[in-house]
Amino acid sequence: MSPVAPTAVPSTSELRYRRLFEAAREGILLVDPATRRIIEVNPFLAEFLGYRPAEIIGRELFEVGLLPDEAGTQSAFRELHTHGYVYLEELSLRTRAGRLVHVEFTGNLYDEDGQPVIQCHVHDITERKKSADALAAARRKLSRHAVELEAIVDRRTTQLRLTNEQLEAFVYTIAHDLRAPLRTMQGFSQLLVEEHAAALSEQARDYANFINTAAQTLDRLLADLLVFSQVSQEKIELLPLPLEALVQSALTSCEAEIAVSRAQVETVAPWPVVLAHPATLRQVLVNLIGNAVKFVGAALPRVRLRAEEGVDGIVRVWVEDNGIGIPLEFQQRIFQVFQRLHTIEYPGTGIGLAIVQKGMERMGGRAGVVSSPGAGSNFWIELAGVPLDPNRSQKLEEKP
Amino acid sequence: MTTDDPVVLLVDDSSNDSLLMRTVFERAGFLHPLHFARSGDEAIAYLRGDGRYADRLLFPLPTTLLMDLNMPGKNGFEVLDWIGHQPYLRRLRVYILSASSRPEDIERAYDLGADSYLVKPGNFDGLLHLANCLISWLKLNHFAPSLPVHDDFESLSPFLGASARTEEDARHHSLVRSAV
Repeated sequence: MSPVAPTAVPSTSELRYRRLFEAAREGILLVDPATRRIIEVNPFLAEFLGYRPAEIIGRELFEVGLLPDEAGTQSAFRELHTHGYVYLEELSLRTRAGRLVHVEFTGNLYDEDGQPVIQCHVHDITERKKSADALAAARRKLSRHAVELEAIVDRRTTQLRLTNEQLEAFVYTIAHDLRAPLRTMQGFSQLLVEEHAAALSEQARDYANFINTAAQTLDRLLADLLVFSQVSQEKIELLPLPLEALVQSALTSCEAEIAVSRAQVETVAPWPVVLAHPATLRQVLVNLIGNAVKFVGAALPRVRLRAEEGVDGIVRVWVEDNGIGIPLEFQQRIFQVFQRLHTIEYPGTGIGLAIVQKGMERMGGRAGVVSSPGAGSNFWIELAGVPLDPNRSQKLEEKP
Repeated sequence: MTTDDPVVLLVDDSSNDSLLMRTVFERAGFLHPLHFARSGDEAIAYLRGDGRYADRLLFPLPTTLLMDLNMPGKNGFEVLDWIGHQPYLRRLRVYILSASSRPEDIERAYDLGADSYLVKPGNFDGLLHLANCLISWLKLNHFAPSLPVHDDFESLSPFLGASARTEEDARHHSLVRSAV
């Protein structure tokens, strides 16, 4: 490199850098590290801060708003001396006119032929910060809204649940409290006929019998409502249950009805293990068996119980009868509370299948029917099966 | 000494139900007199021998309590709890006869020491069936004679522990003692 001769004419490269310095849309300034005073500033920065360049030259950084105060300036310089540079990611400052702006500040310590000089870059990030702040605010607002929304949903769900629980408790209380006076009506009207028949005219006996029959009907209705409310409210916990034992237990409960109807009941093995709540599943089976032996035609009732394991692990239990069957248009409706197809020929409350439906729903299962009039009804319920791996079945058998 | 005769105290606030029970007990051939209390408080008074109940010839201590749960004043649960704290009633069998079939009620009754839980049938034939079964069962049972009210804590306390005593018991006990 040849020594540079002092000349009034700047070199091409000097010109180039001078133009860069003058035209840059970024603040550049040079500071003398010894005095900490500004020795040069580019027009952009001067204008940005609200000064003429001449007003800035010779000042300290804090005097023109760059760096917060003298102490801040001193600490920045200490860092500069230690590390050779200083970087402030975000510096808030006020322009001469008082406008709050945000800048990114970089200072580098250079050695120019044994003469140290600090070159600083000031990058205006006010707009960027504004949008970043707006975005953060929007995010905060959004998450606050989400939280609020969740709270509202929570509150409403709780309200609904409480209302529902109150309603179900109400049904229970009503059904329960109505039974006591009914027992009185039924009991004494029966006693009237049985113990005082001689004192009564035939018509009076008939009237007493009407009271008796009506009270018994109402009592059955309340009993079923109680079961419905119990199935609705009961805490449901699903356990692996061997179906065979439950089917047997349900059949035992129906013994009297089966005997009266002289039904032939057949159970077809194999019986898989299902995930269910014992009391609820038992109630569902009792109702289905009760129905199967009740809605019979001229022929003696034949009832068949069997299970089917689907490839998807779902177990379908069938309760098939040879009874009167159900027309297609009624097959959905019969699962609703108080829906009865037959009022005179077959006694009933219209709650039995609603209990089936509710019970299955509470256990996460389903219920349905395949039937046509005169060809019997095949009721089914679906539950999750329990795969019989050897360990599992071992465990089940160990249970008392 | 043992006795084969059950003494049944029926605790029910419904006089209609009590009357029906008396009828079905008679029809089922129960020859012993039934005793009645119309509330939990009355049952406790009977068992303690308060007032007119001090006459144990008219109001003998029962071997078997047939008790409703839902009653005004002290309910069946409270009576069960109270009985559990009376050492002299340790031979008393308590059968719950309630209209409630709620699992919570059934569990609570057993937890408080009920010996049996029967749900009140909804009709006369059901009641008659219940009375028949119950009487057959009572006939199969042998009963130990009731203990006197002041049957002492002292002989039992090492087994029962202090927790079996309530202040009320202690007060009642001392009253009985001073009377003796």
